[in-house]
Amino acid sequence: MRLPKFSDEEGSAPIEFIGFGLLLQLPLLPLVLQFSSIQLEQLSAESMARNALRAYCVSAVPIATSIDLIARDFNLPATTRVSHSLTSEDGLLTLEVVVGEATAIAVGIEP
Amino acid sequence: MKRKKKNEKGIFEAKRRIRRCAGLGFDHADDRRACGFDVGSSGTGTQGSFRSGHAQGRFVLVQKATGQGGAAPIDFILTALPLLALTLSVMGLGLFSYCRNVSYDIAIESARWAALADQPVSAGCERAKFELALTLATSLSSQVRCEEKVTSGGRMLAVEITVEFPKLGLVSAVDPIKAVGHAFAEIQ
Repeated sequence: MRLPKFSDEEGSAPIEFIGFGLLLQLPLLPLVLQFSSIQLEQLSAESMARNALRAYCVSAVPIATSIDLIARDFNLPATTRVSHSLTSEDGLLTLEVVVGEATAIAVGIEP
Repeated sequence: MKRKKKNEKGIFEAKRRIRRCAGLGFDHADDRRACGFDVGSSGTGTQGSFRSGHAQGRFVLVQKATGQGGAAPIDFILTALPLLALTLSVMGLGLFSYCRNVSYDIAIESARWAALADQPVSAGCERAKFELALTLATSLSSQVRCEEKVTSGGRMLAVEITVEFPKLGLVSAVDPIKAVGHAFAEIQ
């Protein structure tokens, strides 16, 4: 079998142009989608941590209720993992919310 | 069936007996090859006026598809337009996702702002317009609507933001971004 000559300049310029264009540009698509997903998770985690803890401290609204309400408003996909943990130490409440890969922590004064 | 022979340029040539045509000089193109009949006339249709000696170069009738010949502007247009559409679509998708995420955040923050104690419902709209002007382009047309609902959990405020997204690339059929934020009003 004869091996191809890679030093050969013969070929079709449009096919090379389209091939390299697609190869270089298509990886941008998952990159953009991934960036959007991470941004959404981070924004929602910060909003959940701050507002849920504030509603709990000021109006005694259960944290899970606030988190569910904000998750619905952000239109988070059903597959996104949302969890929270509330700890109390020296009169300070610490709420840690995890949304997908994003984590946010809010600190408030115990009522 | 005529035998075809590949020359040194990778182009196939049909072997044909060469004979002189009477009445034509040796330097005449038609005298060196097929004697006056139309090239390809016996097979698939070729123009009657096209003879074997009329084209530049000796063997142009059968050519491989890897040739470099062609009009550069047409090549450029045919390849640049799809690539440009692809680039603009990726940019449009990124912009759309960013606008959507920011709109969600603004709607929720505005609802929380309006839910603070001693705040009127219209404070949510004002806050949403202020944040939209800060984060998104002012040329984007946006509409903000605030309302108050009474639910079993208490008084609830809702801020609804609708943003018209600029059309970019192939992302032109998307609906306007609609974000709604809810918040329970604090006890006054």
